[in-house]
Amino acid sequence: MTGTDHTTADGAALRDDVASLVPGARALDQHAWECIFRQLHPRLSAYAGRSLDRESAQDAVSEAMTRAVDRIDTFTWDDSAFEGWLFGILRNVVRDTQRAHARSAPRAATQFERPGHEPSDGILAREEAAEITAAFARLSPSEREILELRVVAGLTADEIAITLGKRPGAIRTAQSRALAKLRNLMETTS
Amino acid sequence: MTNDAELLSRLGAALAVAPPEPDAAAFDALAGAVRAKRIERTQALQQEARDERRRVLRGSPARRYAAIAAALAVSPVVACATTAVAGIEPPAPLRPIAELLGLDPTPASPDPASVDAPAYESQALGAPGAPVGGVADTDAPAPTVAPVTAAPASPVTTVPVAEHPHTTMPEAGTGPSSGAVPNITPGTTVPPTADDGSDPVPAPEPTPDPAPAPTPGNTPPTTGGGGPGANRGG
Repeated sequence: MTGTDHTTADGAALRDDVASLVPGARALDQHAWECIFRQLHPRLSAYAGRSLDRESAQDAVSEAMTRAVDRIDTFTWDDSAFEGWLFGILRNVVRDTQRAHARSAPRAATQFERPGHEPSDGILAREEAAEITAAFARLSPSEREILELRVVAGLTADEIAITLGKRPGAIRTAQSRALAKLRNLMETTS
Repeated sequence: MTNDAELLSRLGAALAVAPPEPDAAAFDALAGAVRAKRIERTQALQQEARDERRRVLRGSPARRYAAIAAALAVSPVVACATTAVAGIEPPAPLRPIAELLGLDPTPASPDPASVDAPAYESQALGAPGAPVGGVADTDAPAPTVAPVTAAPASPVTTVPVAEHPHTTMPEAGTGPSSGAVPNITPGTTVPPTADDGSDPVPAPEPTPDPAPAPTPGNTPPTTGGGGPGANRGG
């Protein structure tokens, strides 16, 4: 599973699967919640792992699911809203965790094992990844957040708008500007 | 130069990680959250039902009826019957329906017998305004005819003293009207009574008698107060 799964047909099928589970989740069907958790856990963990260490990221995902169950009555039904709503909860949990860690001791973000990069991929692939990661680190926090939600969490522009509480048009514009800036940074670096 | 889609794909590949599988503790926490939410929702529904019941019982009859009809989702007839059975007075337009169903729509109202009891007592006592004529029908409309009032007490008969010194009353048992006015004191004038026995006719003023003074021992003819029919009906 990679962060770009939702740009494929498999990602769309997974989104449909989650959407079909939402009515059961609203009815507090435990099996529906377990299925949602199992299907979204990789993306939730990947997104949380961008800001938290491994253990804290897992705790944040679990806390986000617990809060989602508690607040399911406040969720307004929309076919494309559930994942944006759930990632919005996770975003708040991650922020709370970061504040708590800032008061104690700073922790490094999770360095999960990167899939799909076998040694046979070669040095070029690794160099390209390093180049784009370095350019990505020079973006502003808000630009990085939008792109992380896009490629790590696998959300659409509409879902990112729900997560961040902004208008979809503003998200599309901000994403386009962030990509243009990233492209310029990569060209400058190279 | 790459387009946005390609750049996103490259960025996703660079940032992608393989997160671990969720552990059993995470599933246990999720199951506990679902159970707790179920309990909370059940308690909230029970509390809502209790609050609604209180609101219904506190409301006016029309509001109670509306709440019951809405809660039961039944026709007005069934709802009306339900309200009557439940001891709740239905709205005025539906009371006839309750009556047709043989239900008492006003169970909380006082006993009709106790309400009508004072009327019967008034009639028995002959008080003014009491209804007359058989057993009163509580459902019957109010009588259109004026109620017959009991006869007033007999007015006090003023017996004027004869101003004419010669006017005297005959001795009891001596005149044609003996026994008619047994309690009239001799020497007073009794106003005449109409022939048909109706209200008494006012007595005319006594006329002075121009005749010479009678000789002692003679009884003069009666003049004052001696109209037609006077002293009759003994």
